[in-house]
Amino acid sequence: MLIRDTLVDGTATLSLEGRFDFNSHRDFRNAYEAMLNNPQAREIVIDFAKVDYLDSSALGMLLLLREKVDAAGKKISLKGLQGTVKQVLEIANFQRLFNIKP
Amino acid sequence: MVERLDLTADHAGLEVFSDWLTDLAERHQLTEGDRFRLELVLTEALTNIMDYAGQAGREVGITVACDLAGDDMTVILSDDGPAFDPTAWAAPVLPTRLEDATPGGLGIHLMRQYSLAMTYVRETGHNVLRMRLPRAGEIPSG
Repeated sequence: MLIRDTLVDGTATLSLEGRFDFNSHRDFRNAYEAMLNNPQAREIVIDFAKVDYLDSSALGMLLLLREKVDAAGKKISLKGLQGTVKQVLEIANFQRLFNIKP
Repeated sequence: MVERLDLTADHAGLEVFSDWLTDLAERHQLTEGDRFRLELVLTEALTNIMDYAGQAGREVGITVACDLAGDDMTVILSDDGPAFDPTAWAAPVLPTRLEDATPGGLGIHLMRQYSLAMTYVRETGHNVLRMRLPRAGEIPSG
């Protein structure tokens, strides 16, 4: 999975591309920890627009990130949800756990 | 025609599976949705087998069989690891608050939601898990 990050006006966006699965664990953690440790990043947005696959290991990573974001006193949102990716997140009820942006 | 794959219950096995599925999807010209369902359900099932295979203290072998000839897709996973019945897991109470959310059980929940039917038997020292998946359209109501 490719991960691009941007930081604009306090919002750090991690744009994911490709497959979000057990192989993504290290890259995803490295990307979000950089943002968690950056005091300028007050909100973290995960952009799924270019994700074409995710499974329960990705759901676990998102839950872990959510815990860390709360502990760091920051906010988190998910955006760009579509197709099967949106379906999996909804089956897991993540729309109730995360702020979802269009 | 039934497609078969033998693999070991470890992460190397998961890589072998991924390559096999890519080849299978191309040969059978699976739609994007069908391939996604097949991959998700099989990956979740294989990951579960790998998780409990560690208790065996020996190499655990898995056979994956896919029958793509009918209106539905039928997959059968057979492994010689310790007995594990995913159909016996109670459906998780989906969290509505973060404090209640845990990753555990989400994989089996996804398998259930994407299957029309999921059955398990333990026979001659093997776990045999059979799942029937819809070809296309909306997910089953689960």
